[in-house]
Amino acid sequence: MTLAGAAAVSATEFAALPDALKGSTILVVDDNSFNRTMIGALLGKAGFNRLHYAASGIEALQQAAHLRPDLIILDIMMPGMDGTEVLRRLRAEGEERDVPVLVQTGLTGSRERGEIFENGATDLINKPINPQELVSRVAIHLQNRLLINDLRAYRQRLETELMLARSVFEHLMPPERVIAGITEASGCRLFGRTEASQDLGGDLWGALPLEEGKFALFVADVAGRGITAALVALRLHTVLRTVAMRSPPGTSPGEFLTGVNADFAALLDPGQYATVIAGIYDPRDGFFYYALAGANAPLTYGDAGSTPDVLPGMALGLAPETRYETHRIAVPPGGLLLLYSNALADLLASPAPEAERHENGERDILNLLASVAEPDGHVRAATLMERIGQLRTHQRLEDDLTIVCVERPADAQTGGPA
Amino acid sequence: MDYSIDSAGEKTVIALKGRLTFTDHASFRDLIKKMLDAPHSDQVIDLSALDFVDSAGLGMLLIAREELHGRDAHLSLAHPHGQVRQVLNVAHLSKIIEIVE
Amino acid sequence: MTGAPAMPQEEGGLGLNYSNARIMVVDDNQLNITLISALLRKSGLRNIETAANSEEALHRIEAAPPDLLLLDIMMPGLSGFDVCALLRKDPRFATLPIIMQTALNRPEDRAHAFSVGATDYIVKPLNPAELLARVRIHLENQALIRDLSLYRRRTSRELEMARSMQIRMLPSLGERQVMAERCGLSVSARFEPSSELGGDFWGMQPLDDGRALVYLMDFSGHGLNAALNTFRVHAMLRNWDFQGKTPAGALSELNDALCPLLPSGQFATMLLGYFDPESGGFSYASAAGTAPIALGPTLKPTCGPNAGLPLGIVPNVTYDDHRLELPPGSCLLLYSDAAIETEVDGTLWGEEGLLDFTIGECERQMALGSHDPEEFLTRLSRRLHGPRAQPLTDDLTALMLTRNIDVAH
Repeated sequence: MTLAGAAAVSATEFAALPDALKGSTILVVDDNSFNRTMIGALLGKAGFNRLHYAASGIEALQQAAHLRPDLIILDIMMPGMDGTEVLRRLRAEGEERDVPVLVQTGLTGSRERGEIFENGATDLINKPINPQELVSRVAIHLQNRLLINDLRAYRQRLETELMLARSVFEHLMPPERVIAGITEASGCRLFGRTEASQDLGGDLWGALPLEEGKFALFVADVAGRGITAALVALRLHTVLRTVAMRSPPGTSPGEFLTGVNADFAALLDPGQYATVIAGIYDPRDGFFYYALAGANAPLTYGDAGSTPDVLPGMALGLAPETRYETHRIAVPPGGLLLLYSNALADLLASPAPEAERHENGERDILNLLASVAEPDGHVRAATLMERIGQLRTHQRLEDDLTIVCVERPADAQTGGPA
Repeated sequence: MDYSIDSAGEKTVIALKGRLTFTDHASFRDLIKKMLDAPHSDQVIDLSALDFVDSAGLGMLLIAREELHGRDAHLSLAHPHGQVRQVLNVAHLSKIIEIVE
Repeated sequence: MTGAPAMPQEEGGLGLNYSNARIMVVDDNQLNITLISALLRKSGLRNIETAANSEEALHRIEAAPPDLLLLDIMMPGLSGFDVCALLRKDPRFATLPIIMQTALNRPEDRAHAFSVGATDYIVKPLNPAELLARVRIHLENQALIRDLSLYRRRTSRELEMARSMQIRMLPSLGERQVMAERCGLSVSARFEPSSELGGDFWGMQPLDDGRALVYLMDFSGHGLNAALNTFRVHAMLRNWDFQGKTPAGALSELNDALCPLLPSGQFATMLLGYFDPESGGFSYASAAGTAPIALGPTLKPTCGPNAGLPLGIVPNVTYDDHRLELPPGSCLLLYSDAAIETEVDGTLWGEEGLLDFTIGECERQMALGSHDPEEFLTRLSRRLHGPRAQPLTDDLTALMLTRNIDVAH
């Protein structure tokens, strides 16, 4: 360094640099050794302690790939590969695409300066370099980068955790072989699907084969969304499972939900609850026997398609003493039984006031069923699911969506033993 | 964790080196894929150069066992020492995986 | 219910964010304002506000903060330097991009601008391409930071709620009080998840037959995924029937219940035991839990046996029952992996390290004539974190059970 340069460096006073920035790796690219030394000395004096240098464009790219610098200070006019080309290549390649590049230039023309930005410069600093300006600009970009890296690392960690957690939830839903077993034993085809509105959701469904071709079904919708709703859903699933295992054969859905509610309520924090429909389908008489805890009543579609006139009952977890009653609904031969969470109604809803949603919801869903019915009047669950899938692509889910449907075969006997 | 795979002999021998922990999840997944593609149904994970295993690492060994089992392959662990040996002993792992001292 | 905040759009540029960004142009020269506004509008920015002096600018910024400020320096009244310095004193505007646009071009003006907190500096006459490029870069940065911050805020709020749910699952001070009165067993506890949520879980419960049930579980892995399992097991154990079961029998049943729940590669280690106030013994079984340490005034610290297959790997496992004597006044230390698998002074601490530490602390407290399990747990945690208070890489739970000297019957 010349004496004049050294004097310029020593004459400059810098504001204190935050400690977190001092260890940033900075690559200084300039074919002029005086400039390199000068910039390095300024940055060193400001407190930066990981400085590296490149004397040509080629060397700059090699160093960048090797060092993964946090910032590059780049000269434009260099023999061989010039700064513009270095910029282009940096921005084209994978790993260093994001690195802030501070270009130092003597160019003042509007077009040239515009082009440097177009090629991917983060910032321009004029030559001769103003020491304070250089250090300030470097610090501003590094501060930004540090913040962004930190936020990105957080998001990456959480996304991985949420993805793993999601697979735990997928594991909770009935596996294919259970569904196939139910179809074989009962003659009914069964479809179920849950979609979370966020990474994790509070909706669940389940199916359990019982004796004599009967099977149990439930759809649960935990209040709220996201991680806490998912944790409550996990508790509910555990309780449903435990109570199911200790219930003797012949336990009615009402008795079952009464037991589940007592255990579940003891686990919850204030404000937490779930709406649940749980029931047993009996292929011998074609009835679905069910209990409601604040949930939508089941719908059927077919010859004698109907909506039962049943009150939704108290949501699960609000009052441990609640007793739930058992209701029943006939599924017509060749007809469909549908259990669903509120999000299905929301998905179909005309923008109706909240209060009218419920009534309209059932009507909207019956309209939906009619719209996918085949000429013979049957609704295939697969067609329905496909239609709902289409609706989903047009509209964001505001809440977790769960649908379970049962296709009763057409050749089934109506009625049955009393 | 580093590893090497040797399929030259009668068995496939996988040598683990260093520490097997939570952070090795992705690379151990790759290793399991390679083990499933290995020519031998008899495979040994050599632990003589493994210095540390945590609960997640133990889980990965169990996944390897299960995946190989699914392909009718046999997995054994060989020569654990120090902390690794202690963890395997405490977890009674020899009840479900053959451990060669 | 309001909609969830949109997921951050990190890739694919700014889209809507860019054209909707609010830009404020401050200049006392109407011609400059017209010129700059026209330029910005032409580039697709629609939301442009202007102010003809500093006071007006400050007033409007206060009322509705913009996303970016283009600030002239030489104005009557407060200068652009003053405005910039004032804004930076307010934490709300700490990261607001402030681009100085000025005819001043002496080195000391530039230095001054940056020293009062300017983000950028452009010289008049303005170079249109450069102005737009700089505006765009700052807006992009801001949008990225805003989106990522939003994700972090939303997620950490959820995790915070989940964490308080997790802490509420653990026995409360009231429940511990009941345990001390009914069974003569005082329980001190320390629970430190290594991230927001942990995979450790412990519980206790006085049984009808007079015994005190205590257990400590540690699910493999950590973070959210391990924590999910603690919620399930809590729901399961709440109504579990422990009456008349040996510790080994209870562990075996629990293992059968966990096997279908845990996917391949996930498991839990557990120590489950009953303290019997009549006999003063702690009988327990271990599924690869850590070795319990019994110690006391008349008891040389000893590690109990702890081998056993972890829970959730294969069903139909049998476990062994063990027993440790706890004379009145003596203690039992239960802990998760982190208490032995942490590097202390550069080497893996291990059971030996923990045992030596415990003996030392025990002697220290005895010399002082005190018995303070809480202090012991605090010092244990401090030792594990090291002199520089390093965060632990695994969840730490430590329980100190003390058999009270006067058992109230």
